[in-house]
Amino acid sequence: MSTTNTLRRSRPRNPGKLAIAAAMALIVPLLASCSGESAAEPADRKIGTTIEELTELAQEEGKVHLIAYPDDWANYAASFAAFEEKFGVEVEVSSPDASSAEELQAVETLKGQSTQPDVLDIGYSFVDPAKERGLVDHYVPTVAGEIPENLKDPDGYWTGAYYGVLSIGVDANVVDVPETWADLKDPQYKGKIAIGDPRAGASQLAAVLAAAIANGGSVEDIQPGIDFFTELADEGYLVAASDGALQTGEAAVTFDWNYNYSGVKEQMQRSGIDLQDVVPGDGVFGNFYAQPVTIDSPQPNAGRLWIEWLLSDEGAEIYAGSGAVPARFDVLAERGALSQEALDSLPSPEVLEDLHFPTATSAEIVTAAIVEQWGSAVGNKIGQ
Amino acid sequence: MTHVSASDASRSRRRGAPAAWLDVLGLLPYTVLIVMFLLLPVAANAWRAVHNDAGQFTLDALTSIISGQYAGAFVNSINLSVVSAVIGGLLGLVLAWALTAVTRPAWLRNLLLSYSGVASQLGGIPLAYAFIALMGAQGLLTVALRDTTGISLNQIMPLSSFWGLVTVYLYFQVPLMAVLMFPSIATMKESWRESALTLGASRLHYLRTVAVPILTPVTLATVLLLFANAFSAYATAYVLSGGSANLVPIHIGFAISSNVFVDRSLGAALATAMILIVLLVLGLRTALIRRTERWLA
Repeated sequence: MSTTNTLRRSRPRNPGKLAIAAAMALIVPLLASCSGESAAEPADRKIGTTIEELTELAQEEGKVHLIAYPDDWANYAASFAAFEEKFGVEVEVSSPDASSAEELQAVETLKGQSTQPDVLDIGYSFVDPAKERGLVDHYVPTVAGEIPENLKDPDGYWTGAYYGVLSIGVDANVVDVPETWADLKDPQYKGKIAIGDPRAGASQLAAVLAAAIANGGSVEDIQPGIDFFTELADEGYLVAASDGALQTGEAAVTFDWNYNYSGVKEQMQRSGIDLQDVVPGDGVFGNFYAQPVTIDSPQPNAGRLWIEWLLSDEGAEIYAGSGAVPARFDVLAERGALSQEALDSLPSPEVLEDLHFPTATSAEIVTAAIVEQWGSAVGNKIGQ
Repeated sequence: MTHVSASDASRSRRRGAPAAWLDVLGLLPYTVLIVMFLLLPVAANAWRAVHNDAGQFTLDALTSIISGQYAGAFVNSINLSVVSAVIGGLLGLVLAWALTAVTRPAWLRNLLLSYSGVASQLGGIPLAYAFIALMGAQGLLTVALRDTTGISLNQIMPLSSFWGLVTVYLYFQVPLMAVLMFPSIATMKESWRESALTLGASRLHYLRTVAVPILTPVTLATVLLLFANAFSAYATAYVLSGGSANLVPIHIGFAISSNVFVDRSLGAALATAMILIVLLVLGLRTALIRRTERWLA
């Protein structure tokens, strides 16, 4: 378990990787044009329609190939182990820390090859590009009826198995634990707040959105959030900080999904950090990651079985243990299917009641605004 | 006599023909490499810069980068590269001169040369974290200065600021300049100096009329290389600023490897513009080098 995980996916941990990604992005179209029709799928490709069929065929395939599934993201390590144990199908993960953009690039690059990943885990602003670029396959899971409308594609190309709530994580040895976004304007936080770049990190973008909601904005109107952080930047509250800013003492306040703070608490404690995370009461923003199966994937049954697993009662229990809210939460809670321990890890019902969720069109509006404005309004002022 | 030379000629022809053919063959791996990993990617990049995701021709991406924050990013990147190349060039030149002039103790010179070789290639994330450990908010030097003098180094010059980045870049720019200039300075012929002094020139006169004119083109050419070196740096600046520095490589990173949006045409357009700038710089460099080669071949 690495110490830098709190900000995972909010910034690439290894920017050197960019060079490879860039090179791939450049070479791929050319190689793809050389490889011709090799991607054509055999006509007799058999895909199961029930869990039993999927299991049987997945066992023949032997493994499921995932990309961008970090061990300590939303309890995935436990999920891998339980899946392998239950179905006897091996879980293989490539580039666990890849970004959503890199996931799509990987599918485009590896399409038709045995190394193509079967299932992704992409941010909500990437589900439409994935569909438009023809990178994901149609699959409606057996439990789709129990998934809320805003966590699944109306056309059946993806489902989101879990969602998280944007939280503020602070080192309580250094500062008081804030309860709202407004609290962060207290002078004690001056020079202690680290926000990663919302042009790169989904959780950091969520922080700006949550602040927007707290200041009269909405999931489609991020402007008040940008203004909020502009004010913090102008008054010297924000610091430029590297990954793991809490451990290095560069910052005492960070932002991330609630389910990513739970996994690192113990480790933080060993570094002398009293990590406390809180959902700011005046701006509660949540968001999902989607798990589509890729187009013509090499292990189509194992891929679909993996999606079924994440959505199953057992998969949901593992997600919930980290604080990630399973997509079928309402149904499971009603049936009493989640353990008390899991329920305790989840955000409280009052928090979830206030939850703002992105809409189908909000991603595009919000990202356009943030890409256009963040640099000059906030980014370029940090650490000057 | 004639007989012998004729057979010599034919033998050398026989030997020559396959050798030339082999030469071409020997060039093949390099050619393949260049085509695969330089020319094709550059071409694909240029193509992507003028096409959208649907493959339709559009100049939107290219026109979007000539104004607003992207134009600002180019200005920042060029400023940072020029300043770090000029300062690094001056300091590196002095270091190179010192290395050629100070011959004793020999171990010191060897040590400095080896160190310069290593330091000139040290960059990216390790270098960034090394400076954070030294001069960051909780860096060793920062804390020591704060405890002893009350001065907050990280507030006077944050590593993520312009001069912070220049300082970090100098760590590899200075030794790179020294390593590249050392051979040129070392090949200045002792006889030139002796001739000049014998003919009555003062040391300053020699420096002004011989050494400086000969070394000027290669010095400028090397500074241009330093410019390109800083211009393309990505990881160091990314880590130091947490992605907030307004530099072109960082914008390319956002465009192609973000978790929030993806705009490959924008990334390709920015990259294409960077390639053009670097080509311009390297073209200038080639012209300068040609002028020096006459003397320092």
